[in-house]
Amino acid sequence: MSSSSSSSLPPCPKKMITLKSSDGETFQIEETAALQSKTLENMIDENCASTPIPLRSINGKILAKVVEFCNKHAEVGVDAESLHAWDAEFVNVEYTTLFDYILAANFLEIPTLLDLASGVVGDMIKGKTPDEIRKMFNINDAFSPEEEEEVRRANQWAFE
Amino acid sequence: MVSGAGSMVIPDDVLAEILKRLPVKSLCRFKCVSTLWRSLISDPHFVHSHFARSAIHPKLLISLPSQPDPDPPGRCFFAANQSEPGNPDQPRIALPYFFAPGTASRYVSQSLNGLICFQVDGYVGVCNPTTGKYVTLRTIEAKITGECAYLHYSFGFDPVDKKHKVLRTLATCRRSMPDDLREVIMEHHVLDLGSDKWRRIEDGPPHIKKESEICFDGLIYYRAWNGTITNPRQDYLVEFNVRTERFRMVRFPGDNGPRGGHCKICLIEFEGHVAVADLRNLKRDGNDDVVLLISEDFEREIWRKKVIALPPPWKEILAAEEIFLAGTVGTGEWLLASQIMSKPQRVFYYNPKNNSFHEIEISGLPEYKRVLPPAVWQTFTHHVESLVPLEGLHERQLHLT
Repeated sequence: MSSSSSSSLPPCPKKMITLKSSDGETFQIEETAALQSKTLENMIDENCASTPIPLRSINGKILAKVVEFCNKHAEVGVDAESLHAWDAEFVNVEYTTLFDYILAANFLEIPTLLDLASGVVGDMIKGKTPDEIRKMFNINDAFSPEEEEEVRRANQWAFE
Repeated sequence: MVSGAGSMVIPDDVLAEILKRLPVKSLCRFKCVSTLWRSLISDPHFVHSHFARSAIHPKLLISLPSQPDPDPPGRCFFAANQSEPGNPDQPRIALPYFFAPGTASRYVSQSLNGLICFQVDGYVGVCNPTTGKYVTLRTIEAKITGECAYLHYSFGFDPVDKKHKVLRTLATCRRSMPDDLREVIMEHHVLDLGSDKWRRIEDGPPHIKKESEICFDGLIYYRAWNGTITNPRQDYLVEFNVRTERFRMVRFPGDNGPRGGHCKICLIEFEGHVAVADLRNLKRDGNDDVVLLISEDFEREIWRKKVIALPPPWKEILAAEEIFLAGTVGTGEWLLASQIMSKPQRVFYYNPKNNSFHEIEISGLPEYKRVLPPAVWQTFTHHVESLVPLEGLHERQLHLT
């Protein structure tokens, strides 16, 4: 084994890019990790990533978590099982935070995060009643009672 | 846009992203949430993307006749999960879908893009088994002038225009010549699902459908005979293009086999081609267990022969008389099942790529005290739950059992 020769090699410089949240916080992320985002990938390809990238729709608290997610998923040598456990812990948050993750993942086009967070919200809501959904999603454009009765009758089986 | 929890606003495309992962039942319930949710869930693009997502978790759709006396006659539909991540060998529980009342006929089509077609009491209906929505198709007065007539329906889906169609073929035979030859007069009609009108289409070659069709890539295939009595042993393979509504017919390949042994000769999709799978030689000690004739050139009747020797432990199970090839599933595997009810109820998946098998036990199906006649055997099909609506004049809701 030639362990001595490998230590003499200079460490490969890691290319970093800087992201700036809506509230002005900046985050450093390795380019390899950032490539999970199609939006960032396009910016890197077009050489627009040399200055801090402003992300006006994502606050610092959420962006920190998104960067953490990308870093974890860019790690080499993580087995599927432990990554799965890490993901489960990552999305073990309030649904309002999950919505924030979904919006950020949608804006940055990170399919793995979008899939993960949407899946958890889906599991959360699939057994709920329309009333519970309206509350959860803060929906006010409900039907008139007559209209609702009609839609309900047409889909009665789904309430049984 | 929907205002989400707090001050945030969830764009429609993000909402669709969440909703497309939900089961059909939740989505039908959520149509009552708001006008926006209803229009989003009913949007054809959403229905399509939900279907693509739903296909990741396909169901096995099982139909069986109700137990005559004390139950009213009809056909019961059940669904079980096909894939069970993490637990491939666990028995699947079949959950009841709905009950279609009437004297069940044997014709139940395969599930095509979430819908099935079946015949009850002489009527033909199309159903979304997941929602229980059902339309009875208008019947056409058949003017029968000959000595005998054969009426058949086939169900097709055209993936290009995303249209379901029902093909109705009426063959009337009459003895017209002095030397006892028979003349077969064909009358073909097509109904586009969503419309209430049968359109008469150009007559295809004379033929009488013998067995249930298969449909893939917008093409319907079924085995037929030509209705004449000059060469009754010669069978034909009919192809119907669902989009162009054109027929093609060639001689059925192979030796046609004994009549009545039909459940051992089946049509199947093989690597995108129509193929004839012959399981008649499946014996405990043989080697040419499955003979496949794969269509290379339909028009010129060029068939490629492929002989498959099955792994020994499976020969005995599959050689049983009642085992038949029910079709292919999304993974390209073949689904084999028993036509008669047995306990435990098992289905078999065969992967022709690596010659491997696995079996799944289905629990939750009713047990009958009497053996039912062959005419009302059970059917199996790969099914993807879909939101596809059934709009029509005669839409009904079938009772979910």
